[in-house]
Amino acid sequence: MSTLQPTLELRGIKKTFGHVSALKGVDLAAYSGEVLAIVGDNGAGKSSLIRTISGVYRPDEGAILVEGEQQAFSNPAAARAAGIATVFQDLALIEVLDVATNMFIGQYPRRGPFVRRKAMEREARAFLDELGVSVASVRTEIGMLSGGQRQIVAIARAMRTGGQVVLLDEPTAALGVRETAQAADMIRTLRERGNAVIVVSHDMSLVFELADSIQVMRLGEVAGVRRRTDTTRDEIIGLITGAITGDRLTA
Amino acid sequence: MKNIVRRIAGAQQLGIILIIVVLLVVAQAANPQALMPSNIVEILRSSALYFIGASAATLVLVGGGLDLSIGSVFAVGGVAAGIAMNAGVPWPLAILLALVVCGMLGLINASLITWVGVPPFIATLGMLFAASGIVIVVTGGTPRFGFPAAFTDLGQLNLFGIPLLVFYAVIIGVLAHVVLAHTVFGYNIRAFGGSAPAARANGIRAAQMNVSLYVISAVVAGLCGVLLAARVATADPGAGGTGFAFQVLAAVIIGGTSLFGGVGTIAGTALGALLFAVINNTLALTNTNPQWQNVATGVILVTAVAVDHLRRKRRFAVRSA
Amino acid sequence: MSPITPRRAALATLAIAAITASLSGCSALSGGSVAASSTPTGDLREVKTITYVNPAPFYPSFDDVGQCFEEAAKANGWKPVEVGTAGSAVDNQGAIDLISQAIANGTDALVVFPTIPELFTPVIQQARDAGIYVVAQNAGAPSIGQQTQVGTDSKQLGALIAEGLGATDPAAKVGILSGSASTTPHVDEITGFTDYAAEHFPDMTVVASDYTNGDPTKAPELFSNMLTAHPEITALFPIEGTSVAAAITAVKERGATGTINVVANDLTADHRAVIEDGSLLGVGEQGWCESGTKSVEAVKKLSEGETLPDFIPTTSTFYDISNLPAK
Ligand SMILES: Nc1ncnc2c1ncn2[C@@H]1O[C@H](COP(=O)(O)OP(=O)(O)OP(=O)(O)O)[C@@H](O)[C@H]1O
Ligand SMILES: [Mg+2]
Repeated sequence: MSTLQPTLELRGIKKTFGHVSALKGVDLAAYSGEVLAIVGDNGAGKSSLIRTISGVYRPDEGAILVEGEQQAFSNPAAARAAGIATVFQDLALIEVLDVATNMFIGQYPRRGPFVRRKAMEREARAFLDELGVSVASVRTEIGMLSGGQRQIVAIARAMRTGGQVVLLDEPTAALGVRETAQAADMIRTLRERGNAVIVVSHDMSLVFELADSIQVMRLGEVAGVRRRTDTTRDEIIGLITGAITGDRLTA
Repeated sequence: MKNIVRRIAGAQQLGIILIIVVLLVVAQAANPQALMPSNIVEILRSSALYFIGASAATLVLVGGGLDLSIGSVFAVGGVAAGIAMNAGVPWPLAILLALVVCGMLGLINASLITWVGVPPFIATLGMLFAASGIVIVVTGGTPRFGFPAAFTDLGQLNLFGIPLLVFYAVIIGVLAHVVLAHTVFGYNIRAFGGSAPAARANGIRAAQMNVSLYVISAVVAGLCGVLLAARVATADPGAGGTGFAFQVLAAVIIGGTSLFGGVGTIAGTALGALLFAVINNTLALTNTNPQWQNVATGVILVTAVAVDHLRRKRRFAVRSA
Repeated sequence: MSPITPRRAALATLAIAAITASLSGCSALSGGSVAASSTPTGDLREVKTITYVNPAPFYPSFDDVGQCFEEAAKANGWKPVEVGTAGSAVDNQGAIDLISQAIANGTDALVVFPTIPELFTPVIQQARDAGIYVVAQNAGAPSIGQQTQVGTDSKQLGALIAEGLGATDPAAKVGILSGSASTTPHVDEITGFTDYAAEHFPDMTVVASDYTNGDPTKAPELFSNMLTAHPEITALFPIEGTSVAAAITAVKERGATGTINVVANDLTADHRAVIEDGSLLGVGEQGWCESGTKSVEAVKKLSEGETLPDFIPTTSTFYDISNLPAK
């Protein structure tokens, strides 16, 4: 694998908020057609990492490379343009707008200055049907959906925008059993499509079910990266809690 | 479930239509003039300027902003055009000049809000004071007058028996509706007003949005001032003011636009503006003490916001409670 | 964004209602009159500084008052101070604050314009207690504590306008738009107008009255509604200078120029222009400059121990196209 060029690569990313050092020099490599799971305790810096990749935060130091080319995202629009689609932990959905609008937000099908409403609804409907997502109408406002339905819509939106890199921050946190399975299917679909998928999750069974690689974050640093086939739950949990000393510290 | 929601959503506009109808019936009972075309025309003319101002204010409010400065930018518009015409500038150029001046005030509002981070309420309240002060200083409080007939015609002439002012209101209203409901810009306004962080995370630019909204708001407020100056053939430095600003905002909110952003329609705003004109007209035709207008405004405004709040609570119980 | 709960909204409404009630209660209670003319005392305060609290700096006529005040004060060798409220509407509370500040700054004499006399009673009393000479302009009420009043006899001004209108239309049916029902000079002017009409033109009546409540933008609408409600109207009388253009517009929009006359106050440049073009019948012009000069004269006399009458009138004149003075 190391001979391949990563679709997304991070080198030495640092980010501080005031005196809180959220990221202390993080490296990462995500490959096309693979799922990279990021795990770690609360406050380990997982969301900060996702937000940095998606252009919400600007890193203080370090480099972001997409397909080997260095990028500097000054805002989320730039990251999206570079092919990075994100499902944020807070979903970033707009409650007062309907499902179709939310799925196309910022990338509406347009004719001149006008939004092609009909086409947008049709595409949204078709896309959700294809994923087997049950939403009564694409005109339903997000605010009227259940937490699980919202999460599915947010994932569907990231899939629809179809970047080469898809980031998902805790995509199954609020989901029931059925929806979790659905989300897992959607993530597999992304992998099959050849996307580089990065999933942040606290759900170990999900991680071991889906991931090709697992990257453990601890206190803003990378405690270790393992192929799923080469590791065990105990090792990962040990890295998360610090019971097993991280690679960085032994080096 | 869906039907109930629809009904709640539609209730507010239906309520306004009902109030308007009742008022007209009461007025007609008191004075047979009420439903004559001439009186209807007067009602439309009375609401025209407020509706024009309110159309722009709807965009700002739906976008999650607030522009109180429209009251004094109104005066800036009229007075700037007046000064320019008195100085011999041809009237079309004078209007353009006035609107550019107003647009710059809007740009100042937008800059303070976007780049300095001053809350819209404070930034535009400051502009409300500052701009009105400047108008008084520049004019010495003296009204400008003596405008070319072609200019005053803009505010005074009728076309097919209907004042040009009403045509302007319709044109601007339709334009605002199309922008808000059908363009990418309008979708972005609603997204931004619905949730600024979510809109930003999805790549919508706050800066562009705010600059466009506050500049439009100021230019339209200035245009209202220009049109009033044309109508009364005088540019009064005291025109507009908080009276105009508050009535415009009241019309927008009564029309169902949420103070919390994201939700609102131009059609609702049109009804809100019309309601005020009908209230005033009915009070006059029934010889009621005019002070009741303020009472009615207050009661309807609070009712409208209460309805908006309850509606949101019921619709979005999951999150916004 | 913090949600507004119905309970909170209800509490806020109650609080506002309570404040409003207590405010209006206050002004109703303090209406009683306070001792009038000066009581000459042994040691008379020497005047070094005299302060004019301009009630409407945005209105050009008050500039005239201020200028004449300053000239007269300088002629006496006093230091004139002119202060005024900001904004483009009369701000009573602002004016009261300015008076308090002037008292605190140790002015020797005050010239004030109590738009709503009752509101100004306490602060005027406070000034008198501090030994400051107080001359009021157009106070309306006979006495609210000032030592004398200088200014337009609003009733006489109203009578003059009735006389001027009656010369053209002795049976005028009049619609009046004034600032508010509690603006004393307006109330007096309307009284003077109706009294004079009743006596000299028995067919002239006021058939409609309305108020701008400080929002001149509304004036076109108010006049337009007035004309619809009262098609018998043959004359409009906008008392505020800021609604004169609206009255003329309403008449024009009905195509009633020539059949509905407009009369108003103040010979300002814009009013002169519309008198000349025939859309304004005439104006009652108050003695603006005179009220500035006479206020200073009154203080001078007070400082010399003279007792003054309760009211020192200035002269008003009705101007129409026949007697319009040269610019
Ligand atoms: N915008 C911010 N301002 C200040 N501090 C921040 C900000 N974002 C994150 N932090 C801090 O950075 C650290 C890492 O937070 P982050 O949200 O990345 O953790 P996480 O691994 O996603 O945790 P969780 O599992 O709870 O989602 C925390 O100490 C947090 O308080
Ligand atoms: Mg997180």
